[in-house]
Amino acid sequence: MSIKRQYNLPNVRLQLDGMNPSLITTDSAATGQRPLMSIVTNVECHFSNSEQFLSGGREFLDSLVRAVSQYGQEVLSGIPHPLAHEPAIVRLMKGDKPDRHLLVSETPDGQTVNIHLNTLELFDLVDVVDQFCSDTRTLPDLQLTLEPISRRHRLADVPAHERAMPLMSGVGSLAIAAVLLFFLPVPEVTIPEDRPAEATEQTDGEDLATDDPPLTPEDEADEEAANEEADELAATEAEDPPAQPTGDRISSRELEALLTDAEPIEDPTELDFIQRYLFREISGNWDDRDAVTEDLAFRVSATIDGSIVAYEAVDDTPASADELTPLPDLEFAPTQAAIEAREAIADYKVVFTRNGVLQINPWAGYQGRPGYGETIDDPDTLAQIQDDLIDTLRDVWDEDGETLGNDLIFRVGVTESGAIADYQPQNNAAFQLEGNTPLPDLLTPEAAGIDRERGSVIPSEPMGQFQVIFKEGGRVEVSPF
Amino acid sequence: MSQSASLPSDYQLPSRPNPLILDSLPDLPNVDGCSPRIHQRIDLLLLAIEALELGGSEYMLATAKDLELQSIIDNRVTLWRLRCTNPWRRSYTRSGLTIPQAKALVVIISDRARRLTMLIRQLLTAYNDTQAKGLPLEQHFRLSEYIERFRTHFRSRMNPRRAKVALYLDQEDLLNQLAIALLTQLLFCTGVAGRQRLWVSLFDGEVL
Repeated sequence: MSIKRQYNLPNVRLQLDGMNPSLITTDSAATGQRPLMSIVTNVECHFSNSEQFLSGGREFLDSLVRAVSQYGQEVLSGIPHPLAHEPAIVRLMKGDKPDRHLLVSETPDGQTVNIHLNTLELFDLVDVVDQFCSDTRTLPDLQLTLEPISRRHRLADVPAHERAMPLMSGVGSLAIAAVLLFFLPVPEVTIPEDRPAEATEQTDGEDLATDDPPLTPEDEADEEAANEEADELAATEAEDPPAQPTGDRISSRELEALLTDAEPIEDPTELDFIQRYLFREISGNWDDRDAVTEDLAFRVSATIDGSIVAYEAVDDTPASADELTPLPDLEFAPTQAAIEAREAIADYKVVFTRNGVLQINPWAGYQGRPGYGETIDDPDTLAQIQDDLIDTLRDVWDEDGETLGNDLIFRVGVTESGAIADYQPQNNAAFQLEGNTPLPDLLTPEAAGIDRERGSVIPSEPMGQFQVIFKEGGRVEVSPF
Repeated sequence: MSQSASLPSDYQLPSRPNPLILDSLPDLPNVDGCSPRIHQRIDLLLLAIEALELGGSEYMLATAKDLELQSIIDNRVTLWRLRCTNPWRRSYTRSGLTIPQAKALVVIISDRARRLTMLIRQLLTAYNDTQAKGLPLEQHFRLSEYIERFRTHFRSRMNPRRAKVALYLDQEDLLNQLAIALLTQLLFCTGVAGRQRLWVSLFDGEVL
């Protein structure tokens, strides 16, 4: 028997025609219940504001229920539900004004029906669908399923085109770089003349320190001698060629070439981020501070991902003094790939002072004022982040927080999702007592894309910058930086 | 005389520790508490209800009693304490709502909203009309009354030292928009599945 169901609200009418093949007419009369509709043959959805209506079969109904239900949740929470917008027979999206919505439906003959709804009309559509879903006598297999969407979709406040900007500019600069590099000759790998000598020396078992000082005029005599030696050994070369740089590790000379040829990182902001990363890395790994009895100075070369590719002792610091520092543990042997990629290098002067303080400065100083990467400008978002930051910090900064009577002032960079991705002490007390604050524990640089695994310690996500003052007695103040 | 009068006047059934009506709201997986954002949304919706009906908080208490929620909300002070979990409040308590407490407040919001369906629809229709004709919101008496009351409540109870609150207090238009947005949310609570929709929407963007 055929069954008809209708759900009415002031602005929307949903009408279902269907049947139940297993039902004999007298059955329902006997039980006194409405007959159960188990198959739907036609669905129509009419709107009071429009001559147009939507219609279709079961597929259309499924799609309508899903899109309407998801979009209803989106309007309630303000957080987009991706499923409502995905390509489907029925889609719902925001209209041209905040209280307007657009319902789009594909008809079976390939046409598109657009219906504009205001919020009241939309609500009636949501409720008509809910009424149908909760009707146990009509298609009981179709039920309302509500699930919250994941945190990943929360970045709702920034328009998509703005979020795409870093990506677009990244792809753009890659393309430009690719075009420019196309015109550069492929660097030929030439094995230096004196390699045989070196190879022989190595076979002799002499230790070749990776931080060999570069050749100076005084060394020229030695070099000549080495060259002569090389000539003598020319015959041996054929039998015993020097190790080709095929493996991951590269020789000291290649490293030297890398360091001299590498393009220096000069952008003050990049230098600053690498410096902060190095500081955390080195300071965090410098355990035995008492072992350092005199200032130890090193020139440290690092790549954009914060890897220390080389270091050498400077300012009368004995070369072996690195054993007292965490540098040997942190040194990261660059690979052949790094050479081919001609990774840019930043040099820093790193001083381990005898009173246990770490100092890091760019070797060549800053050429300009470092910034803090991309910043969030939307005042609404900033205010929200600021409030969230206060809540977070108040929860963890209590009366036990020791300030020794000082105000500890920091600059703190926070991502849109509220993660503290960057911070920097702003006064001496903050520098000294950083470890007493909750900041080191709360820091998640990865949230802003500051991630060695990702290949860069320069943030890819915009951040809001705030001044945070930890005060005695568990008080904390947050203001825009 | 009604039947209940035959019982001693001080006789009261012991209230259930976990009111049955809360079971109508699903327990979400991996959720054991509420974020500050949820506290804030719940309190703002209650604030909007107060702006809709005079004596709103008394009606909320009456609803709590009708729906047998006294084990969670037994008096005015408890209700006030629960609402002070909103971090925007001047009297922010820095404590959080338990899941049953949050559910109870959601039940109250959706029940009150359903009773106010006609008014909510009327106000939103008026809002649409004023927008379509480019008229100021003050043009419609009942709508401007709601917005004016909402602004007054917001001003008197929210902490102007919070950056977000300061932003709202600074820009009247933004605060008006908030009042309308809350009215829209209340409209969605009036439907057959409104209670469930509101409850689940609170956790949008909060779960993994």
